[in-house]
Amino acid sequence: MSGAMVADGLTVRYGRTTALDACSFAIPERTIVALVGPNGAGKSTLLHCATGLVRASDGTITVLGGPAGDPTLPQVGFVAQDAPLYLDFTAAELLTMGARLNRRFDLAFCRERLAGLAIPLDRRVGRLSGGQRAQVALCLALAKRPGLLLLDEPLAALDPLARREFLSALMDAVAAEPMTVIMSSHLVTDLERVCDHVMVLRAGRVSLLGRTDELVETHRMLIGPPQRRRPRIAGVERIVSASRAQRQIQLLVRTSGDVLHPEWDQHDVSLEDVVLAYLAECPVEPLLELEGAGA
Amino acid sequence: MTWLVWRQHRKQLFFALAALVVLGAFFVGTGRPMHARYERDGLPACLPRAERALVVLDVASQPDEPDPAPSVPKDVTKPADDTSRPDAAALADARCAQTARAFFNDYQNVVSVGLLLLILPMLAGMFWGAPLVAREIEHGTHRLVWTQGVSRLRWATTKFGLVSLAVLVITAIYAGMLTWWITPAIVTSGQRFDYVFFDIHGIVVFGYALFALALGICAGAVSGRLLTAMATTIVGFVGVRLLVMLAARGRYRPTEQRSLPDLFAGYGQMRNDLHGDWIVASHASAKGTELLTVHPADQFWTFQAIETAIFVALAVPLLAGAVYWVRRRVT
Repeated sequence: MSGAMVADGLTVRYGRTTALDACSFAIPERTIVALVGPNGAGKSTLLHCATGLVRASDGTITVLGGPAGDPTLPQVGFVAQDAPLYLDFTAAELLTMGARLNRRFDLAFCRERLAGLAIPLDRRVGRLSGGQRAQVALCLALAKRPGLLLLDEPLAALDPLARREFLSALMDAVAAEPMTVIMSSHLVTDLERVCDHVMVLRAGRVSLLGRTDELVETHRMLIGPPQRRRPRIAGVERIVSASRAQRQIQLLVRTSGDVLHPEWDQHDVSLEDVVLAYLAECPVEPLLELEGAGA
Repeated sequence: MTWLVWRQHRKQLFFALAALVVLGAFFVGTGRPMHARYERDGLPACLPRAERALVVLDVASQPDEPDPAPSVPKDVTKPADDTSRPDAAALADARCAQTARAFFNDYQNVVSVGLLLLILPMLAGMFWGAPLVAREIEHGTHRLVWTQGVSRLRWATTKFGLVSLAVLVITAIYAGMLTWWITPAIVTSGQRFDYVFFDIHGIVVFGYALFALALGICAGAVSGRLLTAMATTIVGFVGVRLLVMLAARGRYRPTEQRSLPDLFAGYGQMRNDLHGDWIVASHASAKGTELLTVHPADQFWTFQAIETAIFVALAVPLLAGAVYWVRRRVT
């Protein structure tokens, strides 16, 4: 398998807790992936694995064709959760730091970018707003001209306006220079507007990975009468979640073709519906493999 | 990387330099009158000779005129070097010893400030060493700096190396000032092996500072918590220092035996405190002479070198351990 990030049986254990449990997946290049999962699902651990901050207990993870960590770090831009920066540094000093610690670092790009965002270079970062700090952190990561950009909960601390500005800044950057972006969030709605792929992590396992448009197309909400046993419906590949509402039951299903069954009403689903269904799913289903994930 | 270390630690460096200036002012302020008196008393001239003798005449028991011959009973044997020396010289040594004693008595209190300096190397560990890795981890900035294009190995070695170098340079300035300041008190006390003196000047200070720094860095790298690292530094530094001081130092070299002539045989001689031996035990022998078990004064630098080597030897694996922990640390 090749791709921007490829995991094979990736397992990370901290003492007795297993943060990632035999994850195997491949994220194709030049995609924008929303990494979604509840707190503690292993999102941060996965991103830390890709940067070499955390080492795999078992299995492998490769990034841009090389092993995660020191060899590939120069091509990986990373903004950790809460966008940690040296708060007593000015933005200009942070840029100097970036230029000194990286072989490839586009200083002019950074200065221009921060000037465009009206972020003062000579002010201590600790005195900037949360949104401005996030922009500085993003800028530092982008200045490496990375092939892979990893953002850990980039929007969590931002107000709605700052979120929008952050995402549009990100999209401008991606449009200017193609790269793979993986960003985590516990809500897909945050990222729906910008991502083209979704990956759902649940209790250390990948429960969904696919193109957003395909996911919306291949999933249906079926509403029908109560069933005694697991219903078998033509055109349904698998039932992802089921819920009972009064005298009816609702199934969120993955389809393999047209669903033709008079008993069931069919409804389109949103990406959020699909993601929520996979977040709630019982972990008995086999892992899904990425399908047809071309650019 | 060097730039980053400078940018991150320049404040600490300025603070340390400011502390050096304050200490220097104190040393100069109290040291100049002390040195002036030391010169005025003629101690620099007479001490080198006077401190070689094992025993000196007791000036108080001597007649004003240097004419000791008639009062010396025939059965008293004088120490070998005393007989070969003219009595005027022996008397000069005795006067020198008395002046030194008086000098030391007057400056004992000033020098007791030196006790505070015992913990100074520990501060290097607490305020330079402990935060080095621990603060990065507490603030989450290790995730920023360890994901740039510099490997953790290089980050750690550059950072630890430069900070250690800075601490050694500061220690050199400090130890130089301190040694100048305290030398009159040490030579007049004759107690250079005493922990007040042995432990605060000379080359051991480098060993202590490096050890404290390494301990702080390592504790911070392992625990990832600043307070834990600082507490570990205090406990570890004080513990190891006491252990080495009380249990190990006396064994660096075998002791030697010295016998002094009977000092209480009615003739005015006394042990020369200026001699500077580390007297481990003292007892009267059957012949009425005093038997001393000592570490000779001329072993002082050997002892300092051994003690320094011990602390450097402790610091090196601690630093290596810190590098190892930084590299394999799971964030």
